[in-house]
Amino acid sequence: MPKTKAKIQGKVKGLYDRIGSEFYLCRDDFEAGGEKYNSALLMGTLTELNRGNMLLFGEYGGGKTTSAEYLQSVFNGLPLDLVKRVAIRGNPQLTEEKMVGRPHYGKMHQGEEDVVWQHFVQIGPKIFDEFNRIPESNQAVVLNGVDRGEWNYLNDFISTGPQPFFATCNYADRGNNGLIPPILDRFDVAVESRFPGVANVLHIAQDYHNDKDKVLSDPKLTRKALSVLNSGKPQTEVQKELEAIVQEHEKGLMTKDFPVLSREDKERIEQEVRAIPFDKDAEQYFAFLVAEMNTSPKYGQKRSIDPATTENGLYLQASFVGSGSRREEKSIVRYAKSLAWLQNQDKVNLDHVTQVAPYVLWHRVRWTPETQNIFKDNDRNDPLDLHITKNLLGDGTNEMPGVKKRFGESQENYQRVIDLAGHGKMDEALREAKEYSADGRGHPIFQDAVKDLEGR
Amino acid sequence: MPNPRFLKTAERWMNKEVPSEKTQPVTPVQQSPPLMNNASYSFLEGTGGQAILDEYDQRVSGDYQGVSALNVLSFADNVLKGSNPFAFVLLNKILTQKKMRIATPADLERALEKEAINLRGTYGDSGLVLRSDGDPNQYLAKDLINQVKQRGSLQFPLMVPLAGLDLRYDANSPYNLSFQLTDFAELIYAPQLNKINHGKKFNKGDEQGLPIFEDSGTRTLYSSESNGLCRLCRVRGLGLDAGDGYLAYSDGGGRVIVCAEGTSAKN
Repeated sequence: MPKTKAKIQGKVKGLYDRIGSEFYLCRDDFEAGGEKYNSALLMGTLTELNRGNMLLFGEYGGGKTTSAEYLQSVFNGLPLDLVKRVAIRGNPQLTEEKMVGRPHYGKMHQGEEDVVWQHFVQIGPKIFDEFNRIPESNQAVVLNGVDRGEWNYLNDFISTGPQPFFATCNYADRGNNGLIPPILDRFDVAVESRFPGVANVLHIAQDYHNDKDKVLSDPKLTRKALSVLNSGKPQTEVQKELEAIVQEHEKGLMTKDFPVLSREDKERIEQEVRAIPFDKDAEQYFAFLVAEMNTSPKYGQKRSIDPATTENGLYLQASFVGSGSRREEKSIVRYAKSLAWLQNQDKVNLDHVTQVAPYVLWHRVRWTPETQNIFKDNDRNDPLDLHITKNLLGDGTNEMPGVKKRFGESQENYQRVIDLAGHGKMDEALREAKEYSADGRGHPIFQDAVKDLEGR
Repeated sequence: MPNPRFLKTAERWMNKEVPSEKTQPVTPVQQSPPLMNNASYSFLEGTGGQAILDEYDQRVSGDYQGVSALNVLSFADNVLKGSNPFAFVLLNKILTQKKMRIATPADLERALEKEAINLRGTYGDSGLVLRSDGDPNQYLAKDLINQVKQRGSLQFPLMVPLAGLDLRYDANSPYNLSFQLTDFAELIYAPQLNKINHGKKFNKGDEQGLPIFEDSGTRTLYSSESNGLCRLCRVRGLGLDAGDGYLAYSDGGGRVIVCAEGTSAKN
């Protein structure tokens, strides 16, 4: 293991530990490779590492926004007060002009068209608080921004590239709306910010005015940053000046014995994460999962306009309405790689994929009412949809076996098809793939292999 | 032409050794859909029944080397006759591919409740009763116990509906056949089938098809065995036999009850 790699990982774990022990007090509820984590904090950390998008669900005052603010501040070297200032708070009256940009009124009176970009858009790392309080029609406004870091208004656009994005959502009540499926698909992962336990709450309750936040705040630099954001300068210049402010804040944190990641650190992390390969089990499980999410012997492929049917067996395809998406598969790869990197592993293993995948899928998948009925009375620690997802991506139950169990049962047969194809025995590979496919009742991976072998 | 990306992936994943020729017939891993309680029930009759028997016979000779325990079904009087647990498991494999299946103990009770089909004068298998790793059928009992243990705890007596089983050729088995639990196998703890309840009366079964005892019942549970592996069989007087260790026995009174037309997947 290269020394530098271990060093940066130690630094990242140090930040994770520090947020968890001093700022966002929480309990561990996630285990991978024998190491325990808090799921919200871990997924948040991975979101920072691979500049992803994360949804945080939870009760009022449950620490959703707080955790996002600390993560954005610590991992991006931004003063905490600036992070809070530029975040957007969702409400039903929020328009594109308040979220993205507005016409430059002064120039407009002179017959010129120019855009004043909102702080939320100009700043790289973003938080959208109470995201599901904006109506469904307005959610579409942020689609492209969430997806690609590109924001359009009038005939202008601004691009900050992929940046860590956090959105918080309260559980359903009278004041909020559902999230539209295309928006949900653009969030790589979703987590629940949970009750941290009585001992932690007793400690949090004594923190009168968030005194602990002072170490991460810098009002002077925040004012400076806001004046840069208000300056109307070209975006490249704004970014340059913001970067200088970040570096100044990082120096300040160093003097407070709070070392954070440098820009070089983050670039190196991104390269190293990207370079980590999947081991064979991890990649084949991923292939099985993709097959179960996207194929349908009855309808050709899974579609959101077709009903879920159990006619061909209780594969994952029968348990939900809709289909997989290419974004979701990329999310699994990126987050599994990030977790493997954080755990100092040279390869992504099966554990990484099976632990990460439920957090990638549970907010995207619409389980059928029948599936929900089967699990709704279970004893559980997770929200129902996450509980179902963890079960059905893992070993499942006697009544509803999971993908991992089926993978264990069919991997040997699949390997035979792979071996035959790899050694050029195409006819045999096709014949066996067809046999294992069993007229649509075998595992969907074989139906897909038949299509590939037939060149369809 | 095969998808070149599939071939590249295969080259990356393949083992060095070229796979050997298959010696055993392929048994694809399948998952059966659960069926709803509103299933309709019928005997296997007419040309459809004959076609299924033809396919069954082909499978018996092709996949199971023509073992005698499977050569027990016949087609006469326009209906499929004969019944033993091995034959029914294989029949179920064929039926599920045609969106049908054999009836479970629970199905049979519902069929009787609804008077959906006249079963008097016939008998038919619907499950196995596992009581210990001893005789009768010690070899098969041990084999099943090992499989059950892999799925969790084991408590005797255990009732296993045939609809959740698969069948494999096994030269070591006294029947040359062994049962295999599928993903859809139900493992039902069934204290009602203890020997102590032998001769008790009942009128109807519970949700799992197990008898609800009533002194005034008109049906009888025959459960004189306390060990090994037995068949669970509806008998001619509509009673339930849970103590028969002769797994291969079959005669012309046997009938397969299928959940067929009108059944719908649980969705």
